[in-house]
Amino acid sequence: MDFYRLVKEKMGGDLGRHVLRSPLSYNILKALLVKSRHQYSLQAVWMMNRYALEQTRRAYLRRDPVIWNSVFFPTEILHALKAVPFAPEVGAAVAAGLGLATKFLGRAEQYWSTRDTCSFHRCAMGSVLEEYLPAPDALVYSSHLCDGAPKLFEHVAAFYKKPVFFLDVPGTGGDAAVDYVAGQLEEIAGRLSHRLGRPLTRDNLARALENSNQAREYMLKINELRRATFVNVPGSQALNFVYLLFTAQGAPETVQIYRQFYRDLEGLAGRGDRAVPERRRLLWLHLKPYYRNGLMEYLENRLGAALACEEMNHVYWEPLDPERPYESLARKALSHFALGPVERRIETLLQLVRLYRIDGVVHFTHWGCRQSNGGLRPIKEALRSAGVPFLSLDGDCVDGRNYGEGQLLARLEGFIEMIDAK
Amino acid sequence: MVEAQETNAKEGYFASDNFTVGWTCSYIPEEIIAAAGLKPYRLVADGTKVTRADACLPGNFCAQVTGCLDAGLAGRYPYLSGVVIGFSCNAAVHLYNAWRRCITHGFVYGLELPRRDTPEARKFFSKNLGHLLLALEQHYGRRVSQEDLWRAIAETAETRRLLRHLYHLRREARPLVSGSEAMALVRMAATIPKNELNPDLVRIIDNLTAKKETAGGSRPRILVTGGILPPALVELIEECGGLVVCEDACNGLRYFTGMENTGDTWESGDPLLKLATAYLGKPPCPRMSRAAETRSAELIKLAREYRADGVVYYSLKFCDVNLYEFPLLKKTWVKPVSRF
Repeated sequence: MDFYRLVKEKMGGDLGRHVLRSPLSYNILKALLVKSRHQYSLQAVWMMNRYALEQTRRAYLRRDPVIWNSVFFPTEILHALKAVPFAPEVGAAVAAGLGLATKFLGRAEQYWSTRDTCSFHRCAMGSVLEEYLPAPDALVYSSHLCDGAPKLFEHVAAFYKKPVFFLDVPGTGGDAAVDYVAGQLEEIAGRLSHRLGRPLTRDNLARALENSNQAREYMLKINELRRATFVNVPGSQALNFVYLLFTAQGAPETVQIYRQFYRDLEGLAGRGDRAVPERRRLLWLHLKPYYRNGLMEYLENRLGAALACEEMNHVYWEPLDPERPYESLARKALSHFALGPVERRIETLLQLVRLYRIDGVVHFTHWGCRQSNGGLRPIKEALRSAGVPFLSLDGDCVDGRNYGEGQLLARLEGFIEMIDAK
Repeated sequence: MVEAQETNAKEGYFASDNFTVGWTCSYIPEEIIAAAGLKPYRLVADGTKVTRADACLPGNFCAQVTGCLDAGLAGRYPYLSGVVIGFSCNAAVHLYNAWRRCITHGFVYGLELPRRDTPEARKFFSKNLGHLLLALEQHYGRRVSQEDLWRAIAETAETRRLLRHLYHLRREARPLVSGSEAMALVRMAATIPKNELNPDLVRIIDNLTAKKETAGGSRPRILVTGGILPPALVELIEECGGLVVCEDACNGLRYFTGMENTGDTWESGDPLLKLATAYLGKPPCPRMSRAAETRSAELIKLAREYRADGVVYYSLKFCDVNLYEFPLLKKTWVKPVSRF
C-alpha cells in the first residue's frame, strides 16, 4: 500500500488519535516508507519524511520531553536539550493534508474561535480540544511575526496545565533589542533545562548551533544552484522544507537532509533535467494551501510556470556564533526580513527578484494573516516600480471550506498571460 | 459640559497651532509628547464609514486601524502635526507603514512596545522612550529637561487620579455618572492638555457630587470589557435600559488605572524608566503575554467592585488578541459572577 494513502486512511479516521499513539503504527509506516524510497524523485524529501515520522513517533510515544514551539522560536535550544520540538501550526498543515482540518476547525469554532482569525491556529486549537496532538511537557513561543500564535499557546498551556515560556521579539531596537532578546533566550533555556531535568551543556548548545550553521550553508548552496541553473524543484516540494525551518533547526538530521537536497539538485542539473518545464520564473510569497488542491500542479504543469524561489526558503540570517549562542540566536530572530517596517521585506523581495531573475511574484494571501497581508499594497507598488507583475491570490492555507479552485486557477492563468504579454 | 468639551475636541480646538501629536495605544506614554511642549491627542476610530483606508490596507484589518488611517486620509485630523504609532500588534505595525506611505507629511514615529513586564523589558522600553523623546526634540526643535518630564508626569498623574475618583463614584448603588458620560470624559482626558483639563475635571466631579442626580440607580448594571470600545456600544446598552458602570477598555479604565504614584520613588531617578515601569505594569491589555490570567481575576474583582449584574465582552472584528482572549476569560467568569 502507498505510504501517503495509509497515513491518510488510518490517521485521518476516527481512530486516528489511537493510531497515533500506537508503536505498531510507526513500525508499519516506517516499513512502508523504506519500501517506497525508490518512488521519490528527490531523496531529500524521502529523508525529510523519515525524519518527520521519527519525530512524530518520539512525540506521541513520549520517548523524550515534547516541547511545543511556535514556528519562529529558535529551535536550536530545544535540540540542544535533546527534546522533541512540536509546532502545532505544522500539525495544522498536516491535519489539512489528511483531510482532518474541517473537523478541527469546527471544533474550535464551537469553542468560540472565530473565522476572523488564522486557520492554522484555529485548526491547532480544535485538534488540541479533540486530543489529537501529543501532549507537551512545556511550551515555548515568540511574539514576532504573528499575533495569533502567542494566544494559541496560552490556550494550550491552560488546557494542558503545562509551563509556558514566552520570547518577546521586537521589530526594531538595534543592540538594545539584541540584549533584550538574548537575555530572554538564556533565561528560557535555563528554566527549560531545570524544568525538564535535562542539563543544557555548552557543548550541546554549540553543537546545535554548528548543525544550524551547516544546514544554513547547504541552504545557501541550494539557493545558489537554483539561481544559477535551469533546474527547478516543484514549488510544492520546496515549500514543504519549511517543516525543517519551523521545527528542526539545530538538529543533525537537518544537515543531512539539506546536504541530500543539494546533491539531488546537483544531479538534476548535471543531467539537464527539469523538475518543472521552465517558462516563467515565479517568486512565491507566504505559504500554500495544504488541503487537497490542484493549484501548484496546474501552475507548474499546465501553465508552465516554475517556482524559482520561495520567500520562506530565503536565508536571511548570518551564521551563528557557538561561542555566543544566545546573542547570535537573538540576532537571527531579529534579522527576519518581515519584522518591523515593511521596507525590510520589500528590499529583500526586490533582491530575490534580481537574483532569481523573477518574471512575476505571487503572494498567497492566507486569510487571517495580518502580518503578511498588511504589506501587500507597498509590496505591489515596489514591484510595479521595478516592472515586475504581482498577483495576490486570496485563499486559506488550512481551511478549505471556501476554496474555489476555478477562480484561483483563472486568476493564475490571467497572471501568466500578463507576464507573457510583457 | 461634557458634551461641550467633546465638541471642542472634535471641532478645531487644536486647529490654531501646529503642535498636536496623535497617539494610538494606551501603552504609549503621552507624558513624553506633553513634556516636549506638544499636545498629545489620542486617536480612536470614530465609527465613520471607512472609504479610503481600504486602498492601503486589506479589508480584514480591525476598525481601529482602518478607522484611524481613514480619518487621516480624509483630512479629519487637520490639527495633527504628527503621530506616534505604537507597535501594539501586527495590524498596528502596518498602520505605521501605511501612514508613512499614504499620509506623507508630518512627524510619524513607530514605537516598539514590549509584551511582557520584566525588569529587562522595562529597561528596553525606557530606551525606546528615550529614542522617541530624541526624535520629538529633533523634529520640533525642542530641548526637553528632566523637569519638563516630571511636570508632564505629574499633570498626567493628576488627570488619572481624578478619573479614578470619578470612576469610584460609579461603584455606588445609585451612580452619578452614566457610561456614556464617563466615556466622553475619558476621551476628553486623552485629547485635551492636562493642565487645561484638570481644573475642569475637578469642577465636573464637584458638580456631580453636589447635585447627587443619579444616572439610573435601578437599571441593570453592566460592565463592558474588551479592547477599544465604540461609544455607540455604551450608548446602545444604556438606550436599551442598562446602565454601564465600568468600561474595562483601552479607552476606558485601562487609560488611567494601575499607574498610581507609589510614593517614595515616583519623583526621583530616571523618569523614562519610571514611565516604562508604570506603563508595562498597569493592568494588562490582551496584547500582553499571558494577560488573560491576570485579566480573569481582575475582571471578577471589577465586577464585584462595580456591582455588575452582567458583563459584555466586546471585540473588534479582526482583532486577534481580543478574539483569542474571549474563550479563556469566558471559562473563568461564569462561576463567580452570579447574574449574567
